[in-house]
Amino acid sequence: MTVAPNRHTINRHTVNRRGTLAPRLGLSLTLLGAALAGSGQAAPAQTYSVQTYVFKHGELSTTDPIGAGFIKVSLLSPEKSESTLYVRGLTPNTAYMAHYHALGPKSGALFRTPCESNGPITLGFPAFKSDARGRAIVKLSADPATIAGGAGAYINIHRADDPGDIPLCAVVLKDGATTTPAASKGADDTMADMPGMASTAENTVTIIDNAFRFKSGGETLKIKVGDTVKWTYDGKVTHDINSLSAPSLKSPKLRRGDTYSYTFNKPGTFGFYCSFHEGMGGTIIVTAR
Amino acid sequence: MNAIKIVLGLTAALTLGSCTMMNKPTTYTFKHKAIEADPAAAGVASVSLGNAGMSTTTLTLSGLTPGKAYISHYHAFGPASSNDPCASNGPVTVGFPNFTADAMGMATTVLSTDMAKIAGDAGAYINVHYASDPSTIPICAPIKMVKG
Repeated sequence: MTVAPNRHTINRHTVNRRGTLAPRLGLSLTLLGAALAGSGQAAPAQTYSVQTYVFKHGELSTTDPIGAGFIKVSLLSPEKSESTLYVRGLTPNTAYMAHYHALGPKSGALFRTPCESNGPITLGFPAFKSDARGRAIVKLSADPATIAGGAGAYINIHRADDPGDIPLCAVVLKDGATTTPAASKGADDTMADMPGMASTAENTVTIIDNAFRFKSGGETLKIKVGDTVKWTYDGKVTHDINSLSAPSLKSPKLRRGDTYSYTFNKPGTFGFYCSFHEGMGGTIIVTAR
Repeated sequence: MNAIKIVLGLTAALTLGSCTMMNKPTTYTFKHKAIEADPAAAGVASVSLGNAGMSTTTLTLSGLTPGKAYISHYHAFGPASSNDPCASNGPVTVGFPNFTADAMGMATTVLSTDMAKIAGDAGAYINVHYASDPSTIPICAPIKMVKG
């Protein structure tokens, strides 16, 4: 099985200092600071986004009839997005591939969803193999511009030995998509038994001023490989989360109401800290399943 | 005995930056971060080594917001960069005493600490933050330019 490296997601609802709620923008990141430059008002924070798209089984495919899953698309910066596939119900120990596709020529009334538009491949995910339980997690980093709008209209998952058979497809294109906000109930719950989706209450870290608090108490949290830890911010002063031992564990500046999630896919002891405050840190011990 | 002290002192000096000499302060210049806060902020960090492995760091700052409270820390080299310490998001190593800018926007603060705490990557840079919002960092002084 191809296991994705550790991953993180950021859920943010930012209220700028004019008091308006910055909207979720899918594959866009808004730097409102420039717009306010010179206005005499302080620049608001960057707005990040996380979108989740659900895979549907292809009507014309009889392969993997219980196949299901979703994809999370996280915008990490204006130049970087991260798309992570979480699928199950695949044929165990089988090679697969997945691609972003552009909206194809079968447009308008000729198709019900972009998945039927037969578009060209825009970008390929790393080839992967399902595990013994038919599950897989695959990550792709890309320039958001590459998969924006019609260029990243849908994602197909194919068997590597038969690309013409498409058991699963997820619509990404706005107005054609079945989306599930990452913060709401939905795809996450249906995939709770998958590695990476085991974010339980016990795996939640509360950020206060100026300390991290584990639900379990103390300054150390013990989890299993594939578990997700979620930091929720309940303080007043801005904090961030960094790690010397897991460099990809790196949040933007977090404010009240923000959450940050990170999945640990390797065993080890991982310290984390706020780079703004002395002595504000904790440790997560990840052991094999 | 004196010869041993001198050797130890020189060893410690060499671990802090590349040019620090015993009893002769080394000066590091603060650079303004790409943010709107305190656009005229500037200053220097002067690091000198004393006896028994102690160091003294004096921050002399100007262009701050008059009457505003600030905090400052030594930071270790972080994971976000290997050659730009100020962009590396490292953990706080040692904090300077809190200070407030005077009516002219000037301030000085002095930290005495064990040299070992800020040697090498442990003392890669010094940030000056707003006390009211430590995520606002008008200026940073790089001390150690390359990680490791």
